[in-house]
Amino acid sequence: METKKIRNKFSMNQNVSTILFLMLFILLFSVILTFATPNFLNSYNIGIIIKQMSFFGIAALGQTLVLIIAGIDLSIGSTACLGGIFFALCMTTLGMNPVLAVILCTAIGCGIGYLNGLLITKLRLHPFIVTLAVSNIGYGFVLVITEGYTISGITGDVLAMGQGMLGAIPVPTLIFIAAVAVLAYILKFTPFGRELFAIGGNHAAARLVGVKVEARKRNVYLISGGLSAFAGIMVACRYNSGQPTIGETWVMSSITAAVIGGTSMDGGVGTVVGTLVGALLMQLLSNSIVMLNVSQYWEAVMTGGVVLLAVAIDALRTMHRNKQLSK
Amino acid sequence: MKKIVILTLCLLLVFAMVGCTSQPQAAEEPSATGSASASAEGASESAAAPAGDEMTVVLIPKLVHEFYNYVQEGADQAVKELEEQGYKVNVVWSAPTAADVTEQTQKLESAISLNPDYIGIAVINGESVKPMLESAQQNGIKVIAFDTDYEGSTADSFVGASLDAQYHSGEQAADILVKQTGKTEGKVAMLTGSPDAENHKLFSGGFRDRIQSEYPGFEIVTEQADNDDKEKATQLTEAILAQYPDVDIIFGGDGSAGVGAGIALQAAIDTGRVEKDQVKISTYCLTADPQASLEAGQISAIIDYSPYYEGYYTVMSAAQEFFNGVELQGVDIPFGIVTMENLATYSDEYRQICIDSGAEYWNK
Repeated sequence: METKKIRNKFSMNQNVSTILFLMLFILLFSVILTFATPNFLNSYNIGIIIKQMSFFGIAALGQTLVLIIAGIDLSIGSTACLGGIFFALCMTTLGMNPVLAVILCTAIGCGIGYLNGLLITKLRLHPFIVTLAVSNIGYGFVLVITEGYTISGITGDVLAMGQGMLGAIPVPTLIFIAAVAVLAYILKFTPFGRELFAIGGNHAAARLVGVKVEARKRNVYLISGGLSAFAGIMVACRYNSGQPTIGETWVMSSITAAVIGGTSMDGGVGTVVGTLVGALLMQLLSNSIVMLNVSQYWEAVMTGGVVLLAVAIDALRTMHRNKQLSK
Repeated sequence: MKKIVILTLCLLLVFAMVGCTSQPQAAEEPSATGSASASAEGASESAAAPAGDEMTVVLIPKLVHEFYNYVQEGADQAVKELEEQGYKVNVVWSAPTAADVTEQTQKLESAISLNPDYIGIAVINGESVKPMLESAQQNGIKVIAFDTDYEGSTADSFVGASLDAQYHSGEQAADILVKQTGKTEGKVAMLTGSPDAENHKLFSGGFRDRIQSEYPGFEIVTEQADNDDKEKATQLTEAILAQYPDVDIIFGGDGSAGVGAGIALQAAIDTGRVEKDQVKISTYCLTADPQASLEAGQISAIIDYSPYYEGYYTVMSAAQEFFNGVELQGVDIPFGIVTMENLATYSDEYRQICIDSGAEYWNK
């Protein structure tokens, strides 16, 4: 019990230090960009950075929960795509009430996530294989439904979910921050949240102390699916349409944001605030490519470099943690 | 109990096999509507060669994509017109789910074993499919490359835009956009498509060279690769408008770039970042999304290259040879420019542009 307390305290401190380090890095990078180009530090540019990170960021929150329980969700992109496509269909072909459409399509995402969880826990399959297969099926359904065409014609106030502004702050960013706040509270202050860390840290031990490991895993995949579909709906609102290619790059982005933000791919460690900061850093890098007029051919190198950096930091952090725990 | 389960599984297997093998039959018997496209999967099993008065064409695009749906629509229209003239034509549509060389090669293998009269293919990588296409030709199957020509091609003909025409289309984009600004100097941003796509390089090359040689007052301030992805194009344009709020022209070097850029521009106009009508944006191909963007005023020009006519002329040129003995010739699909001024009449105009450029060589 004492070891567990030390471990939890250590993980928490480690997370806080990672977030502080990242924020310092972001601050320094922003100062450099401000001196390099006068157009970096203005409300429009800051607004687009925080808006752009919000769409994949919401899906990355679900990925963070999955990584905390030592899983992985490769289906978030296709679930987001399906969420957006179904939402577009509900709004255009079926003429559904927007609120009902959002709830229904998010529920479809939850269903896909729950299916992942069910296959992983009941058939004891590896999350990588299950979510990869579900991702392929998801994109397959997207092609079956859309035949590659965009589903256009979403109109009305619901578009604010993707395009709206509340004062100077984009609505998608407000939704993202709200989701971060809710999940941060759940992870830190509820038994459910604490159980996720226990499962990720040592699922056999968690089972021994009475945690319903399988049920919790299913719930986490359900949340991940729901958040991904919701993010897909927001993208559909941004483009007034369901796009059959949305989310294709989200899997890598979501894992990168989470890992940069301090979530361990070995499970048991991570915060959603860290993921928010990780997503912000990634978007800042992307923005800097245009701001500094970096050659387009270098972008892939920069992105890959960040991924490598994230994985290296994760490996070093894990090694350091193990060394501390073994003392 | 076990026997019942096994029996049920066997029955399900039989039903599944019947379900699978019924598809090729549909491919061989075009529907009454003239929409004869069907999957080639499993069709190879029947491997039935068509009779002399019946032509079979297998069309293999690069992937399932809106662009190639228009190719399919054009092919279906050709089938319909040929059927009205009393010709029987089967078109088998066999699209890879992704632009993947291996998957396209598998589709090609299936197509060859179907032993059609013609194979139309938009090659992803010429080197990968070249030996197989040559083997098909040795077996008497004619090969029509559509959409993308490739180095060392041994295809019997090519239906699509020539490399020169692709380069020239970039020049056309430069001319129309500069004209629309009404200025002699300004700033230009380029969204250059996918860095590994040859046609995108040609489009961008033509645009860049034209701006630099003919419009020295205009400065290209940035070039960014949008990877033919609307989401990416939107994000890049938002950053471009942040860094260069006085930009006058944004060149979209593919079918997604201009649409994504238009969405970013609209948001920037709504927030007062840029003036309405300040920025002129172009994109490629008059499909549904670019047309909607043009009508919404988010973009000002579409450099149209018709995938519809790629499909139409691929089937038509094959049919002219098969039924009428007109030797197979390449069809150069021209580029056209669409603005709000000519949007309503463009479709009719474009058909005439095709005819004038000699696309319907069998009518000469």
